[in-house]
Amino acid sequence: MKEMRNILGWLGMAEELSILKDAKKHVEETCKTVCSFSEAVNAFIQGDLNAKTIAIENVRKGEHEADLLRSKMVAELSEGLLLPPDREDLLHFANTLDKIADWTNGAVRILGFIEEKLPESILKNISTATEMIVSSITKLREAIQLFTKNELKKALLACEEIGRIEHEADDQKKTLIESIIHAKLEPTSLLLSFQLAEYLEGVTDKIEDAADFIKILAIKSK
Amino acid sequence: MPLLVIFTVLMGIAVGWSIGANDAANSLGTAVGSKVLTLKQAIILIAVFGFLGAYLQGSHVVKTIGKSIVPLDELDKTTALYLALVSAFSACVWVVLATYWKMPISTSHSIVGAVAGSGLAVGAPVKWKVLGDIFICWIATPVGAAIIGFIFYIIFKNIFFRIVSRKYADSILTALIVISGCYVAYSWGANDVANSVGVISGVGILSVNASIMIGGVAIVIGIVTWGYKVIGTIGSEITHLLPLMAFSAQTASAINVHVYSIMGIPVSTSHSIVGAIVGVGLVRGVKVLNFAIMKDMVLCWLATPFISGVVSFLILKALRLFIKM
Repeated sequence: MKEMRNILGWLGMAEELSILKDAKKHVEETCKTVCSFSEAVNAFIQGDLNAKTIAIENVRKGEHEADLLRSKMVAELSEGLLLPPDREDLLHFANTLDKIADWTNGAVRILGFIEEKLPESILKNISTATEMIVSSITKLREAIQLFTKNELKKALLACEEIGRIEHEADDQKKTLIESIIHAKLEPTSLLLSFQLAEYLEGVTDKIEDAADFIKILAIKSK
Repeated sequence: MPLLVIFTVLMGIAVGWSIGANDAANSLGTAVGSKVLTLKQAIILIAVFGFLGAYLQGSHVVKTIGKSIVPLDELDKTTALYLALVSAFSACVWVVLATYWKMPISTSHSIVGAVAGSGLAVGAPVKWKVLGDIFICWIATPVGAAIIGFIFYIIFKNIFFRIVSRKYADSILTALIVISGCYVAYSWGANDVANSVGVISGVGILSVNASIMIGGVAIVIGIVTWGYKVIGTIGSEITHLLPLMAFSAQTASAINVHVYSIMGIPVSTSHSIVGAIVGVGLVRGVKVLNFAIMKDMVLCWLATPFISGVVSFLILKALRLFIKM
């Protein structure tokens, strides 16, 4: 598509860029959601119930905003007479971006249910997993920005970094589950903590999925 | 002198190639996308009808670009040759840069601006009245195509399935899309061949017919060597018109451009097809273009004649410092 000066081709590419701009906004919103989640985790670790409730509410709002942006992107991808050439990949990309916010919301919901003070070892591992999510989403934001600036090589490198973080998150999940097993928690806390571990790892998975779509789009536009 | 002539002809061929490579998709891209035609069949039809349009009715616009904006035939031979070379070169440079920067420019706008800029640089009598008329037609091109497309689609949508039995509807629509696509290719050839060889004919290097022949061949080479990639992408990946919409838009665009070709006005066939698609889309309440995209597109349209004009003006002014004209 690089050679495209044809007016209809140009219009298709302009539509694609417009979708990518929305994707940038979407990832900004998801970043905010993840940051609010991180605040909720910190408040939970410090036992600040009030701050935790506010952060949980912010995550919920962020997820809703991200959902609206996804709906806009999907509408733009399916309506019209001149559509972006890579619309199927972009559609999956929009849905994957939305899943990041969905899973973050899922994680914060579980966090909201945990009332018992968890042992220090578990809290430390939850905090480490959350930091990984924040690093990963920051890299994803960077990758999208680089991709829209047509710096494809750098965008691909940022995606590789996301893949590396995801591997670390897998190992971190194992460590977290080990600490949950050894903590001999009450059944409810055990169940919720286990679920939280699943969600935390799930968020980095979804971020990696979004990075994979950036890779596809970058390779196609080379 | 022979070198000047060779370079001018080569520049014209380069512009012709670029037209064939980029704009061929506007005619039968939809037919390829909807699998009515194979890519090979579409290329053959576009090449044949584009060439026929150029050969049979391209002379009107060729005369306008070669003689009506700046009367090249009335200028001193050497000056006219330099003017033709620089005009073709500037238009070509801007087309190449626009392709590199992925800008949707019009070669018609580019060559008209370049000829006017060159004329001003050598103090030739630039016919502002003709330029003014052309400029008005540029604005009227997408608007007119949108209106015709809008009307056509309303009419066809309401009468087609009343007069055509469902049993034959698909095959008739297929035929209509191919016929209207060929008509787009014809009107495109008739209008755009002048962009490549208008100055060659105007300066008298070749006769109108000979230059049209060369321009037509250059366009065909552009279609065959590069245009097929764009046709494939446009047809299968970007345009999503229902058969009746495609037929209405193509017919509206072709009539629109054909009228200007007969009048001898160089207009953008791309603007015409976009206008027609917008018009057809309006009937179904589909927003074809969003404002931000439209703004970028209009900016490119407006900037093209000025940039190519300034480029040709500056090149000729610089040349005059070294060469006596």
